[in-house]
Amino acid sequence: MLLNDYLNKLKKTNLKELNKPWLSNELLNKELLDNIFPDNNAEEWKNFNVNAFIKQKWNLLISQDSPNLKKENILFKNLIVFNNGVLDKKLTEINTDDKVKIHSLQEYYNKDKTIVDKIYCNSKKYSEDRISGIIDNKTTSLLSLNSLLNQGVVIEVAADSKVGNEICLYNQISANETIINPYILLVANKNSEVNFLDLTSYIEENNWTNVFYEVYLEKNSKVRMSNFSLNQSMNLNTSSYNFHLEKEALLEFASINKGNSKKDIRVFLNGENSKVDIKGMLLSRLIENSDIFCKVTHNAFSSDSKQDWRMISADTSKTSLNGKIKIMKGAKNSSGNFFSKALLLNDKAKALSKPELEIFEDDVSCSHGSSFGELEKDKVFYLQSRGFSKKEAIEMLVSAFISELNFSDNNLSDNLKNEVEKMFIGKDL
Amino acid sequence: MLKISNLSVSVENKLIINNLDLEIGEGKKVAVMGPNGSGKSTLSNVISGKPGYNIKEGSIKFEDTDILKINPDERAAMGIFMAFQYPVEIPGIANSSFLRTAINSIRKKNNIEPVNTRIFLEELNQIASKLGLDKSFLSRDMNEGFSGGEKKKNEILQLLLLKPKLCVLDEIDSGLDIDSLKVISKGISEYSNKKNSMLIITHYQRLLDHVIPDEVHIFNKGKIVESGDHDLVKILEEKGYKEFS
Repeated sequence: MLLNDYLNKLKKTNLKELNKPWLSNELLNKELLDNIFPDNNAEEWKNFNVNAFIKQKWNLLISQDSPNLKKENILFKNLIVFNNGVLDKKLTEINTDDKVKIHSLQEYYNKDKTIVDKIYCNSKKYSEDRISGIIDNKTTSLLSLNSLLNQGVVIEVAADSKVGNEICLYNQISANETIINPYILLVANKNSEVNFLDLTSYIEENNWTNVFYEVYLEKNSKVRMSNFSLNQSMNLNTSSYNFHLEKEALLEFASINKGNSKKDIRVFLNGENSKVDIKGMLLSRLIENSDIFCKVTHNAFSSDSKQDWRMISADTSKTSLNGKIKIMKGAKNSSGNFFSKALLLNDKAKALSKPELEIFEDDVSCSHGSSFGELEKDKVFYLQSRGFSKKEAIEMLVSAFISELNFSDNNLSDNLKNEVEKMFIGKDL
Repeated sequence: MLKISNLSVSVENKLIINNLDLEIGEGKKVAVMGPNGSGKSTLSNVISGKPGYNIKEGSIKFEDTDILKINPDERAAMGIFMAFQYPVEIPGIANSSFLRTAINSIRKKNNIEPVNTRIFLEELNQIASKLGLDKSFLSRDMNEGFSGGEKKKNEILQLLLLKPKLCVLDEIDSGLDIDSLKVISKGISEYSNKKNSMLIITHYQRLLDHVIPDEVHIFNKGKIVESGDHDLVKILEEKGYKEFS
């Protein structure tokens, strides 16, 4: 079935048939259904070509295709497998002595209805409050797809537990010209500690993955989450990562955004002394469009945020970054920092970076800075004078540029190195 | 070893080097002295192959090969080394890793196997110690946060490691304190032998008190205006460049 046909069908049916009791409010459901696609008029979407997905016809997977995963190739002790966005219980293997539990959203809701506070069932949950007073929910409209079309999975880390080995959230895309809509809710309960690697692996071409994460870090929990994709090639990606931090919680988020891909990252520092450290790399080559919107909202006293971004654009591609720090009333003594550095490998390549600060409180400290440039010719010559060919010199300087981010997850560092090498294949530099 | 004939070089239509003839024999140390803007650094850059210069006429032959159309890295592999007046900083690349890659790049171009890591590290530590550089210096990022003296010592460290046939020292003495100058001079003097040659570009006498040149040329407005032996340095120090314009 095609996506648009299914959405039209949904409009004519009673949404209770979806068997999602948390979506019981007809008004809200209507809002979700009437608000499916964003447009380029929204500030947060203006740098990404929405026609790339709006004007295409996408298949929708109603029943799950059989998996085609060679498990021996994936070396993770803790592996949660999604096939085309749907949890694959057979291939999922968690060795954490019950420290981590996986539920379907339905199961979890039946067990504990308080989770409804965390589930996305309101199209205004992540809307943008414009200075003009307008509440703009167009910016997060794609989340309606996840909410309506995916059954949802809850991954819960038990309180007072430390998960030693990284948990790989492995999303395998083996469909064709299909939209994939995983909705994953992660809950790190109080005093827990866990590392996630969010890895999307594409086996087939021309799909659209629209990933939606909501991550709740309860009091004094620590979450490290890294993210990258394999063989993305001609596939399109839109992802939304939404983090909610309570008192003393700590989040480290690292991401590689490449290809035709847009990530929206929202962090809400809701508890005192909560802290987030975001590191990210945007890569684009050929005619790709790699875009990030990253917003940190400081809602609590003495909350701390850091954003450190690097961007590399090659050929005639474009990287774009919109980094926002919002300090709300009551978030005194908070600190927000944003920095980005862009490298253009070609005079036709583009990079855009827009830091924004919205500060509604006194006694806070915020900084932002962006720089753009090409490789310095003097550095290339210096290396050449020491025997490096021009190509080797450029590769070494780019390697130096990416190493500034210093990712703590080796999977991410290795992937970044491979992706950057790809930028130079067949290039006559 | 190096023969420059009738060389004229311009940058943005401004003539910087004007019909220059200069020869550096094997095992010779040749000093080129001149005031600011006389074209000294242009000369060293053109020998090393830096892009951006318009060679209007003339030739530069290194061991009888005209090098003007040869890429900088190939010139380095032939044995030409320039110690930079302003060495660049490259954050993100460890000094020792850079040095090993550099030495192996040159070896590869000369069809020599990569250097044995143990032997390389032993030699590197030995040279660093000779130049009074702490071991941590080698693990730091390439020239990042180095003092002026450390950057210049790093240039000499590379020279001693890469063992070039022709060393072009572009104001290696600028910004050095007396002690660093002595260390660097000692390194240069010890390396100098009958098989390699040196082109020492400087403003001042002080380096040439430690590294005694065989020939001294005074450079002004892109050409040699006076030549002599080491005694010319003392005359220059007394009379200044105005006497030789």
